[in-house]
Amino acid sequence: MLDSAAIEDFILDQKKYEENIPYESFLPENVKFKTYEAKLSEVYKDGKRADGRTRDESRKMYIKLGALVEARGSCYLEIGDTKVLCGVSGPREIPYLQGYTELGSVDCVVESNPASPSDKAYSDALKRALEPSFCRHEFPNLEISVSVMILDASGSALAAAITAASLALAHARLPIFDILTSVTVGLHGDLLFIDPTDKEEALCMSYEKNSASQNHGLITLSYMSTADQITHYYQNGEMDLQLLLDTMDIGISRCKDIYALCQQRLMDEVKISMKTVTDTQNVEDSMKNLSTS
Amino acid sequence: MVRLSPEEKIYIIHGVEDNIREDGRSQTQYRPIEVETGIIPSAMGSARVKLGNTDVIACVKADTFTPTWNKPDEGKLQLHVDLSATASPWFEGRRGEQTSEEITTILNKAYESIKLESFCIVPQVKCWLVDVDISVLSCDGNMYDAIGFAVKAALATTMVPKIVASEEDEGEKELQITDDPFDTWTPNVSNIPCLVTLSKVGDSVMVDATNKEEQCSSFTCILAVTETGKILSTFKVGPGSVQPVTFSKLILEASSIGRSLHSELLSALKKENGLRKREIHGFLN
Amino acid sequence: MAGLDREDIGDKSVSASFRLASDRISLLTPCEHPELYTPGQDIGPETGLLRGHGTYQDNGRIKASVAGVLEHVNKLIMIRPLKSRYNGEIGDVVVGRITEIQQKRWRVDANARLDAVLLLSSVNLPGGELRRRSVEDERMMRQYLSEGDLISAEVQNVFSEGTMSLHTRNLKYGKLSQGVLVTVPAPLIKRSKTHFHTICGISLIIGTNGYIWLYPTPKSTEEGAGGFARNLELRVEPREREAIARMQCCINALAESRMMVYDTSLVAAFEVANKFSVKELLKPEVKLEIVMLTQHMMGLNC
Repeated sequence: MLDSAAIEDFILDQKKYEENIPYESFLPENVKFKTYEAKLSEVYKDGKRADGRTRDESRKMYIKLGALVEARGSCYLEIGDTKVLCGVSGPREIPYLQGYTELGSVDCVVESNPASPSDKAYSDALKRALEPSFCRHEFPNLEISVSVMILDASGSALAAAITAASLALAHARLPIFDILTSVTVGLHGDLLFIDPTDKEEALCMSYEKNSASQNHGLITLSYMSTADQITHYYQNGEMDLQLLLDTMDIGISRCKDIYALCQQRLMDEVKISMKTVTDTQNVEDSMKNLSTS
Repeated sequence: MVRLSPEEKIYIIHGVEDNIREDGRSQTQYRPIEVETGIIPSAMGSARVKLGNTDVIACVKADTFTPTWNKPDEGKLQLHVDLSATASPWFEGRRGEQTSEEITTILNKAYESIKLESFCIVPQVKCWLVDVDISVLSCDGNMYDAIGFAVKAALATTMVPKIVASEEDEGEKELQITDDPFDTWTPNVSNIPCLVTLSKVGDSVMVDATNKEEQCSSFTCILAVTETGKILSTFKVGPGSVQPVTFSKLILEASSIGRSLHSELLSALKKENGLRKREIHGFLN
Repeated sequence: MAGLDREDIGDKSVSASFRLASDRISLLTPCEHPELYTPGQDIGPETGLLRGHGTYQDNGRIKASVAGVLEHVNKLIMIRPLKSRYNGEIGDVVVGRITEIQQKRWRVDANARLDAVLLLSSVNLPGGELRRRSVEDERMMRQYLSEGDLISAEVQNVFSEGTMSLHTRNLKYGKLSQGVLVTVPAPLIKRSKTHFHTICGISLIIGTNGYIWLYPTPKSTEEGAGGFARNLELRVEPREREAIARMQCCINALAESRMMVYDTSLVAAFEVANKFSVKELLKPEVKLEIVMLTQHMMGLNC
């Protein structure tokens, strides 16, 4: 075990650079300094990942539209353990606007609980991803407000946020060109991990110094399936060119798979709300008949 | 920045598609680039890059830190960008700060995957933390590429004093900076990437967009490319979308462009190194 | 999509030339001019002289307040700074950009200290000249000219604080279509009889305010610049694009070396620039050669 003086020094050193000290640094030595093989087998062993999936399986997705009653449009999305809630409101006038803009804008705020340093980056990324999918020319001088709360970031949080936001826009009956779906794909060595959990994401951002292949990294992309357009793309890590292109292709085909599911859920929701409207109309008609008879 | 009329934008878009841009360049032609290192003698390393009318200075200083337990033999590279208000009144105040923060975040992410084992002094005890401060003095588009060149040129000519570890009795190492001020080491920059910004305008893809051309771009992405053509990171910036087929072509182009840029930059630095009498020209004409 | 070949990209080799600071070329050559003054420098006694712009009075002496060339017209003494904001005069032809739409008028950026104004009553509306301006017209102002549009206009009036009032009540003025705007310091533009030129295969409007508009010569002469319709379908020929790029390079080269920019100097510079391919035009050596040969051709020696 580390003695108290060493811990104090360590904390002071870390504080100098304002980093959060991960609790793992206080674990006993044999637990902390595992071999690479041990670390890898925690995440991926015998062709199966920690949660039993194969490498090319996504986690189960659950979508509920209209989760927030007060918002114009909302969507609650779960991918495995990652939980995301998105609310959409507007359009409203762009505050502090001087002049005239022909295209509307999307004001995105992503928050997570507990607060994470990537919130600001996610907000910018979400805005860039949503803007091409949204019919901006129909909202000059106006903005739509999108707010996303990441309740549990257990891998592919940004991808979940983008998909949820796009579904929330659709639920709000705001004009969009297409529903956006988004996935994250991870690469480690030459192993591809679709829809990684947070532990798998951490593995993909590291590399084994002595192994033959130094390829590693994550790709997050969002895609409009009918329009065949990539609206957001972020890649980090070192990858061979051909491997990168292949990984991107796999990500796109996975986006198309999710798209079918999203479309289905949206149709279901529309059917339910139509039924409510027609039911109400039927009641009104029969009330009218009653009063005239 | 200056707002363009729709007709001006159409003129620019058609020009890029016809491979004759506003100033006569082709789609794959950069504006004249000037690079000068050692421009700030009091820093450990510095470089100024002028790319057309875009002007950036990168300044390097190094400090030591105790590495974290999970990365015991790797150093750190931190970048910070400051958009000077002299570059444009657009950059004054809060707006300039926000834009600086966004660019700093993107840059740090781009340089995140660089292997920094060469920055280690003694594993688990001390490593080098290299800080690069970038000032944008003037901006006429394509800031990222200029910053990429400046960072690489500055690091390639940085002289960091050597720290030697000597064995003490109890097996603990004592670290000392050498007495000789000329006993320095220069970081190996072979894995420092260049940033390549590609913009899709109309149906064509071009490099090195000016301010006006940036306003006409429907899709812009920045790629960090190594000397061997590997892509370390990719960012899409701004609104706009692209077809996957076009995007794949874009990535391949960026890889080959990056390799050419690296070799041109390195040969210019070598030529500068070979000049027998070197005066610092700086801002004097 | 497996295996996209490198050959698919085509033979697009990137060209990027890195040069060193030691190879820097300057286009500016210092010039001995007898009547250059710096701020604070004494010009002469106050008696019998009228003070003009760029001077101030101190203890019975006239001194310079800006750095520039002395000019005198009879008894009027003034210092003309070589780099100053444009000061409008009635009758000047200017090129400007709409910055804002206000009630019954547009604000125009004309490279002056203050934005100029273009009143709704000063433009030609479609439907003839004598139409009354209705309330409809006010609401439809954005259809005529919106933010970012470029216009050519004439200075009708200059208000006391320096704001210009423009008008486009002539068929040769109006909204500008496809082309390129080049900015040079306003003092480098001479006031001349005409500011509309067609030289070297393209057309130019040399605005007195330093904004120069380069555009492809319109095929039909009846479609004057006064129209408000947008012309986004026109596709400019590559030949004309090259000429415009070449002219832009000439203008920038002349401006960087502080030479006056007018039709004669541009024709001379263009002739020199014709020797180079359009892709080489940005190189500093090329610019230097253009400047030197142009000065030689025009018999200027400094």
